[in-house]
Amino acid sequence: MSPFADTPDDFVRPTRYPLSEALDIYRNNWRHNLRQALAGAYPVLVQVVGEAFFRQLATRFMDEHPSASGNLHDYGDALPAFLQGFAPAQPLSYLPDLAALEWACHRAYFAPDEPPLDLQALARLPEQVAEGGAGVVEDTLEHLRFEFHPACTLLASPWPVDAIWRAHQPGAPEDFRIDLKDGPCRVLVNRSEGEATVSALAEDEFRWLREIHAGATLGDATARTLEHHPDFNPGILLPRLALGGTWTRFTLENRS
Amino acid sequence: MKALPAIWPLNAGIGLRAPHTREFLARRPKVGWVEVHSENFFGGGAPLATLLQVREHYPVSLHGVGMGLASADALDPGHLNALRRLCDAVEPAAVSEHLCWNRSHGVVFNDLLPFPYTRAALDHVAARVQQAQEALGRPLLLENLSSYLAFKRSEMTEGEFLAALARRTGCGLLVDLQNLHVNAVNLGTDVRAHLDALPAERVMEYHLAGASPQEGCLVDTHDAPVDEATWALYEAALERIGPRPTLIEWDQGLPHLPVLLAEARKAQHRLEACHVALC
Repeated sequence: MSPFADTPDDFVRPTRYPLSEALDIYRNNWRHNLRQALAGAYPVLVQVVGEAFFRQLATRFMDEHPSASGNLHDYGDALPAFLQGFAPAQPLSYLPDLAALEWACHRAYFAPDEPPLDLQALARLPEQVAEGGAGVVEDTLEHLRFEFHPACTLLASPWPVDAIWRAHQPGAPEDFRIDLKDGPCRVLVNRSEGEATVSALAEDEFRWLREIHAGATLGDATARTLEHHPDFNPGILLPRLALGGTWTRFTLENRS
Repeated sequence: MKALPAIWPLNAGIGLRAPHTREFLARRPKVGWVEVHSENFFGGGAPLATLLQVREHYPVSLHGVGMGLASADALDPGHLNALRRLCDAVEPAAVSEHLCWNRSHGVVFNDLLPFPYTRAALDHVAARVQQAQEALGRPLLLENLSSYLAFKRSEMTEGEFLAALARRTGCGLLVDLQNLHVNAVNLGTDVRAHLDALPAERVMEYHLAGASPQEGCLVDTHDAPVDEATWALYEAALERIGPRPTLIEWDQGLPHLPVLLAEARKAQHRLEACHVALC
């Protein structure tokens, strides 16, 4: 679709060059801007499929998914889903998941800042609970819910897309070998010192974090994870997440 | 927090783009101020943190490319909020947007699109400028556009439109001399008449940039040094309107930082010559 296709000649003043040339400049600018935005958000995809293929992909994508934001950094969120149905990309079955990982990294880079988790307030909680006489101190932790930092995304794929992503980062060794059978992968995308980070998670860790992300209390998330992974121990993961900027706020569930 | 340089100096500045930022901060070159594209800093993280570091040492002007004030669609409240938050964080010397539209029926074209300069359009754009200025709590500067076509239905020139807009809304004007040159070449715009139409006291900033000839017309590509014709227009503007903070814009095919700074010095020399002449 084009905003210019129906502009009649009699609406526009004649210039030294034909109207079609003026419209081509606008059309090219528009396509160029969207293509640049996509290439900026999906640098690994560009490397994996090559620039010529990416150009075709971008053209087809923008025809079906016009921009909805005046901020070009918002453009391209629908590309992973689009790739699922993009016939020329079907031989690379991991491509949609790789694109989803790149979009999560792109969003992590531009995500708003949030104050870090207030660890002192967290440490004071058991005392406060005890003073309030609200219940048993030891199980305070169980009733906590955590809000994720806006830079964070949890992603799972049957393919080792995290290894593919790492192999295409600036400065990565050029000779790498990735077996697609090395999947699946489960990752937490976050931001550290301004750069997107991709951290691999074990299956039980991923399940537990996904529960918390969906709003479960630590206690419920742990109980549900233990149903599938009897050896799961959140004690190892908890400080890493609390200190790593994954969470920004906590709330204590009211108990009656 | 350090005291911030608050005043927008009557000097030349550069458009600061991401590939130059690290070197710029390390060298801290002698340049009056910098301008950045607002939308690149709508989030937090590294972009905003770096901009705030720059802000500790230089006045910063925020130049928007995405608000599309002349669109028939409503202004995007999320966009306005993001710009408001950025203004609060950066305390910019100026906030500017383009006299253009970019949105129709929810589809955004991410370009700077022209429209017929009619009285009805003036009512519409004035209301939008007022809405944006109220949301931001500060006046906007509106920039003239480089256009590749002009409309038969226009009832006034772009210069007359901008002058009326400034009177109606209290907005300032950003005069892009490169855009005027492009329009003179492509559309036969009378640049001197455009400059004469503008209320000099509302003009707050000049832009200078390079363009590329493509087939039969000149395209506003911001990928080259300022050309002689644009320097001549700049001198004409300095004479007719007076000295104002002046920006060198370079967005594509970025040169090394010293090349950009050398362009800014050329503008600075002309500004200073103008000061001397005025004294």
